[in-house]
Amino acid sequence: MDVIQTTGLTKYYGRSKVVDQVHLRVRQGDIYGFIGRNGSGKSTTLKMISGLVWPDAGDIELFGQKHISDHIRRRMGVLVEEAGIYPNFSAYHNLLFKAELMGLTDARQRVGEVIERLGLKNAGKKKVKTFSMGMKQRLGIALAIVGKPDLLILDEPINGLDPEGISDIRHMIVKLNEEEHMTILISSHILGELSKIATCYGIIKDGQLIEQMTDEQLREKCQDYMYVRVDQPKKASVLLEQRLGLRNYQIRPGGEIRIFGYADTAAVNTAFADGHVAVKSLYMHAMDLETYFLERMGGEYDV
Amino acid sequence: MMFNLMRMDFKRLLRQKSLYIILGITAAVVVLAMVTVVIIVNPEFRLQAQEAGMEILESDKAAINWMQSNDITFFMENMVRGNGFVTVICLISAIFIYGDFKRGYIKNILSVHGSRTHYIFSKIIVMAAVTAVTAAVMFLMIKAGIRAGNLEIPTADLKSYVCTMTALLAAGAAWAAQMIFIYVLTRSEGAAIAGAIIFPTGLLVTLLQSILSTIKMNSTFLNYTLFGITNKITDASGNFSIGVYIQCIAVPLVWLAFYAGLSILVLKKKDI
Repeated sequence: MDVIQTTGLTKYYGRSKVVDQVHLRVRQGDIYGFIGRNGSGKSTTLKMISGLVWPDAGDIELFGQKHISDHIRRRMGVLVEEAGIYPNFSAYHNLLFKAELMGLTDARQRVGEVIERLGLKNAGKKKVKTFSMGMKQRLGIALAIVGKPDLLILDEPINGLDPEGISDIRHMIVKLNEEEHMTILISSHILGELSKIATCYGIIKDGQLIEQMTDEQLREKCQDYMYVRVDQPKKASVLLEQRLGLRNYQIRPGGEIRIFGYADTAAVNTAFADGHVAVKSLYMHAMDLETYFLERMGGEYDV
Repeated sequence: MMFNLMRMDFKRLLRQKSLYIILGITAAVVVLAMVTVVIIVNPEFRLQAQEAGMEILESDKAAINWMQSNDITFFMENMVRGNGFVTVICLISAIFIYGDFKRGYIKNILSVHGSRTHYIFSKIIVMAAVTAVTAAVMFLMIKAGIRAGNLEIPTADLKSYVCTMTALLAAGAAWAAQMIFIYVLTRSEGAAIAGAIIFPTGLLVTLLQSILSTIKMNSTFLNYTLFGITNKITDASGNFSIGVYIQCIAVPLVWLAFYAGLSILVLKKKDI
């Protein structure tokens, strides 16, 4: 089942189209990594899905329902931008207000569980305004999960955290997905971290969702390959097949050949040399998520 | 779900220090006012105060004697005349509403309970309760002051109590709705606090009245502004005629509906 499906989701601010015909699909059980530059429309998209911002066009379906009732909303936990907290209350009271708002019958018990789980027990009765950034983010996540949601929406949850904090949040997200079967939609700039946990990705650029793919599909696209640039690509391809028995390759413009699943650069070099094909460039290529993302963004480095 | 929203709002409000500080200041101001009244009315205290340098005019004594000729509800209504009561309600409303937005807790609320209408009405109902509590605190302080100062002020009948309290409740809720609208529209803490201080003084109404008077235009409609109708409560002399009473209930309720409707509209249009 699709937990989230948007169709033609569009939002204008003034004359500026900040979200443009976004068709997003998040399947049950996914950890969906939502990637885009600053100002690309990620937060606005997440806010529309969360019901905090009204779309100017398009539809949003949650759990297969177009009409988003409060019953549906209660199945969703949201942490968008900064954690929304009352600074002059303790973590306990912030959570209790949310639990009671949701009408949880075991509000106090649930709050206790969440405090324990998110490592907020030591905060005691301290006011939230005294918390560190990491503690505030933990509280934000705690507020999002206090209602035991089926869907968790996290907008940049690891921003501003130290490496230990990032690791904690990452493990927590994976645990929530595996143990509590939560579907998670998470946006982040820190692509390295996202690539460790996401099972699928959506890339948004200038308000448009330019690509959606599973982790498997991403790995295929980022697949390690041997990069060769030759002067006679057609002749080179014949040599690859006849001399080396290779079929898994791609010929691209500019004399570029990508050979997948084969790492013997010397053999390739020899084959081409014997066949009088000049090799201009030859190396092993591996791409990570960040590199793939940068290529899709057009090469500008500003994640 | 609106019940859950109201319950959350009540619990949050009761845990807020600012509420108790403002109510404490209100109680202190009323006590101070009662002390002043007792000093002026009691001949022994009056003499001591004058010897200590306090200036007590004949008009002060005449005003107090006149107040004493009416019942306690009239006494209370005249305490409201200074608009301190309304300012208290407006300040608490402003602080209460911007508390949700300033730190983003509104996102937690509206992502769970999407109805902007319920959100606004929950706030107004809570502020109506605060109005009732503030009026009760004022009443108790006045009653205590009357007893402590042995003032001879007749008790009011039940009808007067009910009329006074319900009129104050309607007015207080309407003022709260106005403050909520100002914040929801401007999303500015400064505008909300400034509104809470300026509007109850009737400055804008008085200004408009002067302008209309200068250009020889009728300004009686200004009696039906919130400021105007709140003053009408204090003009009712502790004995509401049915006509005046209906006005003191109906007009604030119309304003309440107006500002609540505008707040809901703005909240639905504006992003969180």
